[in-house]
Amino acid sequence: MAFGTMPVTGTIQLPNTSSWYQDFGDGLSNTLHGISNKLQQVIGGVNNAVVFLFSSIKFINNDVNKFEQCCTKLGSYVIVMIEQLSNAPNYFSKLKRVLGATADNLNLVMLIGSIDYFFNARFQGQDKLTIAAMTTLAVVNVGGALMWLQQMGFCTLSTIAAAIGEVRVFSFVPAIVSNIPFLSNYTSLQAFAVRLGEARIFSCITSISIGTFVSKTLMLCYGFLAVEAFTRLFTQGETTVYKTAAGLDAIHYVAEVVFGGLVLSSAVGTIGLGITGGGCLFLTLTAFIYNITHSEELKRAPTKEPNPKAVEELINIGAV
Amino acid sequence: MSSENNMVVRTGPGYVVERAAAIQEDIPVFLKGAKMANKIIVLASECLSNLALCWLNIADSLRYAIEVIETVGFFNLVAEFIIPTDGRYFFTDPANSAQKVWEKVLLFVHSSFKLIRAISVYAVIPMAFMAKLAIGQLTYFKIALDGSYAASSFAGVLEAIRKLGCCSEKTQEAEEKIQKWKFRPLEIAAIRRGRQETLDAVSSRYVDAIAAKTASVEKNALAIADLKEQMKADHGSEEMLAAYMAKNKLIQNLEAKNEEANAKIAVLQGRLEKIAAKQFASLADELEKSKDAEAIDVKIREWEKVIEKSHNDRVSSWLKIATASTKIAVISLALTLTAINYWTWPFTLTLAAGGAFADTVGFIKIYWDHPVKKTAVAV
Repeated sequence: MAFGTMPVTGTIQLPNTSSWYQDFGDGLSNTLHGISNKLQQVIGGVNNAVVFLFSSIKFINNDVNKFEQCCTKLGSYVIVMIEQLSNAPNYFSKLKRVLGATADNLNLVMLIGSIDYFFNARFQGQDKLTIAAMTTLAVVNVGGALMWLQQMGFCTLSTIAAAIGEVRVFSFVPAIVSNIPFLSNYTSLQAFAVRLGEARIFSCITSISIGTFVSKTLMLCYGFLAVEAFTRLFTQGETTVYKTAAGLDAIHYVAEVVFGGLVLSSAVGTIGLGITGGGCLFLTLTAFIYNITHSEELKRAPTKEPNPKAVEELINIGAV
Repeated sequence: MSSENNMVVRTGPGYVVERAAAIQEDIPVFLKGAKMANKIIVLASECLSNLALCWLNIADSLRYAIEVIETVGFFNLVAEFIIPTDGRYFFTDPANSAQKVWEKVLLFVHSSFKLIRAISVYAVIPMAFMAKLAIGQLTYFKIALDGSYAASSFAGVLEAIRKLGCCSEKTQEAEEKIQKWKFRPLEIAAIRRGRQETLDAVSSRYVDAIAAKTASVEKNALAIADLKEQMKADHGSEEMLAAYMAKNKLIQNLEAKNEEANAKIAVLQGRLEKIAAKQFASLADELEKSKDAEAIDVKIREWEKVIEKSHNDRVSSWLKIATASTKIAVISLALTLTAINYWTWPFTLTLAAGGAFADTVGFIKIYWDHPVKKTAVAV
């Protein structure tokens, strides 16, 4: 029968015997399919990681506070640690200088935020801990601005402190006491009035370093914020996102307090400060990114359970 | 000047000159003047000699901050390119004009050069090979760096001009709409009477609206088809699913818009049919029922807001044109002076003044565009 006249009805039955090349082909096909799937998953994962990384960088780049923290921690601690580890002191001196200048300038403009906070009464509706934190932050910003002015050469803080320390607040007392007729007879009172007139009650200012003062006030500010974050963390009936955000905030504020303590006490060396500073920065940025990426959930009205005591009182007075 | 009992009383500038002339009439007056001038000059020179250094320190400090922030701006641009907004990527978003795309791409080129320069200057990565390759020829590198910025500014000017055109169109449309709503009761009365001019105007308006809405429906249908194609690629991981859902939401919005537009087209066609059938009273009744006085007020307020926004956008565009044009001029002058190596003080001063002007206008633009925030200070 010629090939062209072969009947085309029915199906072609393949022999049910498998040869090595069929097995190999199937195996290869399956393997390639698996690799393709894995590759697709890996590419998808890498793509997502890159998108997440760049969006995080964008968020940080657009936030003055976080940018300033990055510049401070990187410029003052992490890069110094890298220099120490690579045994190349001041190798990154230019980079440190520009990062320091950036941090100083950003710090200065944050003072405007503090002024706005009090001037426009932004504290209305906020809890006491947040207000306390913002007040200490305002003090920090003022101190930072003074240090910046000194750095730029506008004023010398030690001279100002010495001038304030020289002030005799009660210098008018001896003159008044000596002019009151019946009091002028008491010698001991006169001597006391003279001592009081000589007293310089602000003399302690000369022995205070404004840098240390600012650092300690900043620690206090982070302390208030940590307590506030813990209060949020232990609020009943909140969502997981809310609690996670509060937990991350609490951890990062506590880390900041610990880091501030380490810096002030000089308990650890350059490498220790670099590691703790870097870790602190990582925690800060993690909390920040979490808050940003879950801002929609966090903005929703809190689902706090009503205070049982208050409910009981309302029931008692017949309001409920 | 006025005359009173043969005495001439001077006023204004004449009075000031007369008082100033007293200095050459009397030695004590001169002495006081000389003392005052001497003290002021000594004070000013003492202050300025210290202050000049302080201001230079501030300028240096700000320059460092600008360098850092502009360098990391590279990452912001990359993020803008690779992260979709409302399910659309920068390059495929029809809302972005060609001018805007070119502006951003050229700015990306400029930022890349800046990043390379920063890596080289701050020795972040030991880059002997790259330095030879990219910034070894410093003049060419500088030309590429500044040239890309000038080109980006030029694209920015074109984009601002395009936006100005859009603003004019929007304002005109809004003004027409306000007129339409303000004179609606009169128009309905004229339709009821069967006034031919009004009927012609209304018919013409309906025909135009139907054409515009049909075009919009077709455009949206194309966008929906495009998004559905993209959605086919989004599968697998949870993140992909999220992207899929975002696009799905966009499609739903577009479909809802199309549905609304189709309903409006049907209403307008019905009204045209009524005009053709001379059912003027019925049409007038329908128009009266469709919007009451309060709804008309709301509509007018909405269109007034459009005019206000359009006005703000127009000012912003003009500020952008002023900034970008000055930057182009300054960069061109600087490159020319570098090429001919002719740096004299008038040119240096012009460059400094041009730069200051461009950045001041840029600052005003940022404040003009920036929304007022009502949030507390974040730590």
